[in-house]
Amino acid sequence: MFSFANERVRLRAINMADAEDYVLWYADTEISRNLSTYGPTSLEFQRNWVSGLTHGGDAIFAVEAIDGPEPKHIGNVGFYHADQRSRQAELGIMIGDRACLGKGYGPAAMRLLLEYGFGELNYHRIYLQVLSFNERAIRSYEKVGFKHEGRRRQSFYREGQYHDDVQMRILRPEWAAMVGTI
Amino acid sequence: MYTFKDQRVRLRAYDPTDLERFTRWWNDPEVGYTQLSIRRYSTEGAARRLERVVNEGYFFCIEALDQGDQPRHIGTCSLREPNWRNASTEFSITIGEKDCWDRGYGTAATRLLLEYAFGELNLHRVELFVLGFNARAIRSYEKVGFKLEATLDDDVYRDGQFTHSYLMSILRPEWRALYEKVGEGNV
Repeated sequence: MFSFANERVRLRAINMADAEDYVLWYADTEISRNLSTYGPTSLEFQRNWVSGLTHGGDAIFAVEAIDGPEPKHIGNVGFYHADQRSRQAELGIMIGDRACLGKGYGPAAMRLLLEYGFGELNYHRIYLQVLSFNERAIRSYEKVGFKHEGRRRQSFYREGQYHDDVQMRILRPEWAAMVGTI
Repeated sequence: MYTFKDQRVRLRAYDPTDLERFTRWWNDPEVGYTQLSIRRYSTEGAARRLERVVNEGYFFCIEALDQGDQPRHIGTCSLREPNWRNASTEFSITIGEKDCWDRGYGTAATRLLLEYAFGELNLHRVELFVLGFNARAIRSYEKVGFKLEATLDDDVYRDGQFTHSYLMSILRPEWRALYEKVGEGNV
C-alpha cells in the first residue's frame, strides 16, 4: 500500500497557510536562482499560486520532514504537464528551507513521488529539466536513478548570460529494475 | 527588409477559407502519422482547433509561389508564444499537400520563419521536437542548421509501442554564421 510517507518525509496537500513559507523561500536568492521565478514574491502572488493548484490537473504535494520532533514543511514535489496518452509527466521539486539542503530530503521525496507516478498514476516516463549550474540537484537526480538525455543549449537566461538546461528522465522499466517491482 | 517570402514560398496569415484544406490534411493518416495528434476531425472540430492554434504564438500558412499563376496554400508553420526572458521559442511545421513533399518547400519555409524569429522577434534560440522515425523532417531540419540536442526515449506512443523523439535547436549565432540574410532573392 502506498502511504505517501517513508521514514524521512511525508507528502501532503498544499494548503493556503503554506503560502507564507513560499514568500520566505523565494526571497532567499540562493534558493530562487535555481527556479524560473527569481527573487521576492508577495503573499498575494503565492496565495494565487496555491489557489490555482486546486483547479489544475497537476499532482503537486507539500514535502514535510518527519524525522524531527515535529513535522516540518520544507518544500514541494510534484508532476506537471501530464500527457496521459504517452503516459508521462514532468517532475518538479523544490526544497525551500535552506537548512534542509544536502540532507537527502529531496531524494527521499522524489522516490516517494516516483513510486506514486509509476505505481498509482501508471506513468511510463518521468522527465525533468534542471539548470546546468545546479550541480547539487543534478547529483541528487542521478542518485534517484534519472538518466541524462541531453542538454537544451543556452535555453535559460540568468545572471547576465545564457545557461544550458540538462534534460533527464527515468523510464518505468528502469525504475522497476531498481526497486525490484512496481 | 523582411518580406515573408522568397522566390518559392510565402508566409501569410490564416484565412477562414483555408478551413477546408486544414480539415482534409488533419484527416489524412499519412499527414497525421508524424504529428502528435491522431484523430478524426469534423469541419466544426477542425474550426475549433484552428481557432485555438491560430491565436497562440505566430501562426502562418505556407504558399508555394512556383506552381502556376496563383499562390497555392500547401501547409502551415508556427512559432509558439516565446519565453521572452529566455528569448526562446518552439517551431513546428506541416506540409499538408503530399504532392509537395520532398520538393524543398518545408526547408524554404523553415528558413523564412527562422529569419523572422532571429531577425525580427530578436530571439536567441528556436527549438523543435520531431518523431524519431520522421527521417524526411530530420533531414530538412539538419539542412537548415538545427542541431540534435537530446534523444527522448519512449517519448511518444505510436503503432502500439513507445518510440523515441528528438529535441533539436538552432541558436542565433549559428544561424547568422550560416545565413547573411534570408528573404526575397537571397536564399
